[in-house]
Amino acid sequence: MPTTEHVNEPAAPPAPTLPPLIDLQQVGKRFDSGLQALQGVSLAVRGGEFVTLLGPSGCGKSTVLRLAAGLEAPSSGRVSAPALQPGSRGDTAFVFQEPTLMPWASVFDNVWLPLRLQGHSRTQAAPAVQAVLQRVGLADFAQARPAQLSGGMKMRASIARALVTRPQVLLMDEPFAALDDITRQALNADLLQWWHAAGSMAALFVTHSVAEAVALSQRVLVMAAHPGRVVAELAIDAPYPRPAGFRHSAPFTDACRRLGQALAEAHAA
Amino acid sequence: MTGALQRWLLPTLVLLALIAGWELLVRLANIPAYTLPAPSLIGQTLAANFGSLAGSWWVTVKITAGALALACAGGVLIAGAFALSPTLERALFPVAVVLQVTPIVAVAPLILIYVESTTAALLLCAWIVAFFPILSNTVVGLRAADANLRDLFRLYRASPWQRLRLLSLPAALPYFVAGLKISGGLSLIGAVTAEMVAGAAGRETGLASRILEASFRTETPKMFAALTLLVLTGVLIFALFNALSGWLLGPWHSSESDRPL
Repeated sequence: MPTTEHVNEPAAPPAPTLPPLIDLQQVGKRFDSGLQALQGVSLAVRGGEFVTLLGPSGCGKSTVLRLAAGLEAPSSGRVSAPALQPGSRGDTAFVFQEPTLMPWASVFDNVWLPLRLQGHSRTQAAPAVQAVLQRVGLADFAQARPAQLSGGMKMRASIARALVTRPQVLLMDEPFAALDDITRQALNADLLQWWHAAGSMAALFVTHSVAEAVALSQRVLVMAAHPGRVVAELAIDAPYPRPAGFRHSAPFTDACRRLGQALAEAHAA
Repeated sequence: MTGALQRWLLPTLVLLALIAGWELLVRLANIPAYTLPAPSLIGQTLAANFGSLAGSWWVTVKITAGALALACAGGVLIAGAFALSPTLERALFPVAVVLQVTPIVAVAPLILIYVESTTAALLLCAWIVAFFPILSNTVVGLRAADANLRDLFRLYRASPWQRLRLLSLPAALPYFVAGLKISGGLSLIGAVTAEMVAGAAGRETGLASRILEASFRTETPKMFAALTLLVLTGVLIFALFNALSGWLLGPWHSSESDRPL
């Protein structure tokens, strides 16, 4: 059992009676190379929750996401997630650190892809694709190629592709790490809006930025490396939509300080 | 303006200067035509023999194009099979390498013995030379798709056919086109080399036979005239595939970007 230190009582989940969408119980992951990426990780994310995994590089944050997406299988323990249901298609979306767009295809065709793989023709998919492009602010760039877009716009296209199937679960692996801070903060604010508008979508977000974790999430799980494990959990007590000045408010600074301490303790241990 | 100057004017001027220098050298040094004909004489010979040379040129072009088409089909199909089955690749790739490293001049006589039809033998020789760059490039290209994109296709449970059509083939296209650029020139070289070895005579023969004939008769200007046609053909093939590459990859691939390295 990992020493899960509750720095603060977690906020009440929106629908406590619902079972968690993503549920990891005592999960261990050992790669063929012998690397123990995760050990004894338990976490649950319910519909409508925004949860962030925070930790240094190599602590297994990305592995947790890949397990929840069914892209890796656990070596021990149990994982349940919509992506692991037989016949599941499009109810889990993954946003990578790189925009991961198909360079040969237009923005429209990139966003169409998840629906296309489900058998929707261009005409059938067009209303949904155009609506999501409108929402992320790329309506005028539907016919552009990824190479013509800025880094922030590429990431918007990548998120549009993730949202186009109206997924139950949105997994994001440091999606804004390569962006400048101004673009990053703008995308943080927009992401919260899109997630909020999606209703009961569960978001699991990976970052190594303390400020980003606090700005976005309801709960932050602090991870440590060698082996990767969850060492602390912190609730961010601020309702959505977050007020405009949240980043400069006392609760924000306070949460950042407590998270920084938890990270330092995890590192020292 | 400087762009157009650097791209077209400068190389054209250099080429013209070389030809003019050649002409001048032959005239001033009184070099006999059977040793080195002047460009003007080569031009006259080309015009005078245009009928027979054009017929032979067409034969060579047909062999070249046929071999290249077969190299594309063969290279892509075998690469596809290799991509589907790594075992097959391990089993057959050495054979492809053996075919590639064996000098075509050395195998051509054997092929001419085993294959009855001369045209088929020439096609086979040119194919052996041309198919390997397409095969090896396409094999690499079919594996070149971004790992995250492959994960995305897995996440959305794409069928193998969807993965091939929407991901592997487009990702392999730049590699295939690079192979095609190499194979285009090689198939011409293969076609000419094989015909040189075959030493075929008669009406339905290519430019290599014209060069051989002229060489037996010490008609050096005619050799140069046939050679000029071969060079022009090679340049044409190169230009054609460069244009194709720009058309297919220009909008998205960095190999067709104008930005300096």
